[in-house]
Amino acid sequence: MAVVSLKPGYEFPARDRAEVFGDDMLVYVHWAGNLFFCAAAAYRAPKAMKWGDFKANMVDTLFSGDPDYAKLTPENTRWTLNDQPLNPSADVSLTELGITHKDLLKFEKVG
Amino acid sequence: MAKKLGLRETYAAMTRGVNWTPSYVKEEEAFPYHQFEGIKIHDWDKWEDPFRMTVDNYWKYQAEKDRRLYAVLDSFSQNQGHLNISDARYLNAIKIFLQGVTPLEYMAHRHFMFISRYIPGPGTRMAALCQSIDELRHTQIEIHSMSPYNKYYSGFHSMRQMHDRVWYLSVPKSYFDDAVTAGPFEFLTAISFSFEYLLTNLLFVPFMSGAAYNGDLPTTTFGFSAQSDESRHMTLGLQVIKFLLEQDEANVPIVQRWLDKWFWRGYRLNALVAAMMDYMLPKKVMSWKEAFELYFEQQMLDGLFPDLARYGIKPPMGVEQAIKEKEKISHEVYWTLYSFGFAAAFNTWIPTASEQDWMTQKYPETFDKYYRPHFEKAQKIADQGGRFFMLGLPQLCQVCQIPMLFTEPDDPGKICFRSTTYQGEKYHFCSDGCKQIFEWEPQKYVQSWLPVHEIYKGNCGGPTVPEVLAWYGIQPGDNGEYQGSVDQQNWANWHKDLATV
Repeated sequence: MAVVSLKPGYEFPARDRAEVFGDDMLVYVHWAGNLFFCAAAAYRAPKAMKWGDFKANMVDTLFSGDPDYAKLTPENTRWTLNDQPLNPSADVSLTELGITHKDLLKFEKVG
Repeated sequence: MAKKLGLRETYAAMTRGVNWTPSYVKEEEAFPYHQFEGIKIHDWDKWEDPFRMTVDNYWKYQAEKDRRLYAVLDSFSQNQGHLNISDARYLNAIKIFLQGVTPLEYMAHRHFMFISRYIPGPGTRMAALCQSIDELRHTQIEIHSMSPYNKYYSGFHSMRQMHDRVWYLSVPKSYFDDAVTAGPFEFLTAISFSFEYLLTNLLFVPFMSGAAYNGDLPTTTFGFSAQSDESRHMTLGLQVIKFLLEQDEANVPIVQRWLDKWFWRGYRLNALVAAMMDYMLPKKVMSWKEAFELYFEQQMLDGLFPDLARYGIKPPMGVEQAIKEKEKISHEVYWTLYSFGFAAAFNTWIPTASEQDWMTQKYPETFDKYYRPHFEKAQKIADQGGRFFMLGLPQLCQVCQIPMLFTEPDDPGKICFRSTTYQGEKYHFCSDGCKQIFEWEPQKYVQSWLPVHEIYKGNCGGPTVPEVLAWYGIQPGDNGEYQGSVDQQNWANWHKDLATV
């Protein structure tokens, strides 16, 4: 639907479009089932970053603020990307995992 | 000697009597903004202003109210009145008011001045002129009422800079920017009706009763001084809606859409009030849930909307969800403020044991199950000398700009994620309401200035937290934990001294 505007041609480029971030992108990470973290975290990460670095330097740093984070292991953690199952391995880049600008990753403790 | 005019005649002379038809320019050149929204007005004389305020009356009345207010403020300052509030924690509610609401009063002043110039109806112009001056007066008297605290407490010093820059203040700022960038009739529906009529009691009553209960004389006196203006604004709001609906049937669906949008936007803005009300008032007035039931469900849903039904107007989009959320939002929002308190221009704290018991009593379905465990875990961290913060940045809703903290209407344990793709870009929303608002006008909201993304683009002073805080105008002590803060230590010292006198 269009904005009802005073003059025709009310069109503007999206302020946070992918190209603005160059070789990086925005990625959101949410710990499902644990609302001690009130919302998903937002990151700016290089597209070529390896999953292992992303997890260790960005995800772990923030979420280890909850002492219960120590109970998570690769075996009991299930990841999803935009609600589809994701099986990340450490030496694969974010792009190779299919992660694109403003995607939502969730992890959850199972079992 | 000519007979003196009565009030009704004076009012007619002061409004309709000074109207004229332009002859040097075309009508549409003098009034270019009132037609593009599709609203049809056939007879501007059908506009009725029940207050019939004229300029000479207005000055006399407002000057008298100002004299009373400033006498109270002088006496408050001279007598160290700030020592008599319930607790220094209380002032964090007032910091949010000054940073978040006062700049909106100023924006309202500016845009009602615009309306008073560009609406062709002289009665409407006069009402908008009076409201514009009211809003400027409110801006000034709020600043003057709250400035005595600036001498003794943190967080009161840079409200104007903070309003334009700080992440949680982009919520009220973007709300009003959305309204002033709409056409004049949408602005009137948004601000005069949805804000000043539908939701005003939910915003002002908690702050003003909160002030009265907690010994805050300046804010209470300001509230009384603004009260008669606010009832005039409410009347204007109702008159706007009824006038638009009565002028042409084709206006009904347009107005309904605006009501749907602006109820939801105003209601989301009030989520900050909900958190303030349940958590920041050491002496409680009522819970957010009780206030919502009284001021919205009873007064508006049961009182107003049956009356509007004869025009074909339905209760706004999202009402069912708002009713379900009354059990949750104050807790979800306060927990977020606590978690990101390192970047806020006020202090946050873990509620005391008796305050938590009050929450249990007021929110028996949700508090013990969903929110008390957060505070217990945070307390454990505090007992080991730490302070829990979510040391990062949250995902924000593209429309209301609040962190994506709200949960599914029927499941307080699950975050509500909504998203859409527009012109190849992905957008995220906190609710069906915000998603719907985006889909009605995506070209508007793709431009949102989202504080989190702006930080990541390098537009907010630098990449580190201290750099961003400096750019926000937040000074050390304004932010973070209340226990051990500058305010808490000063308060304890002042009261210790008093006790030994």
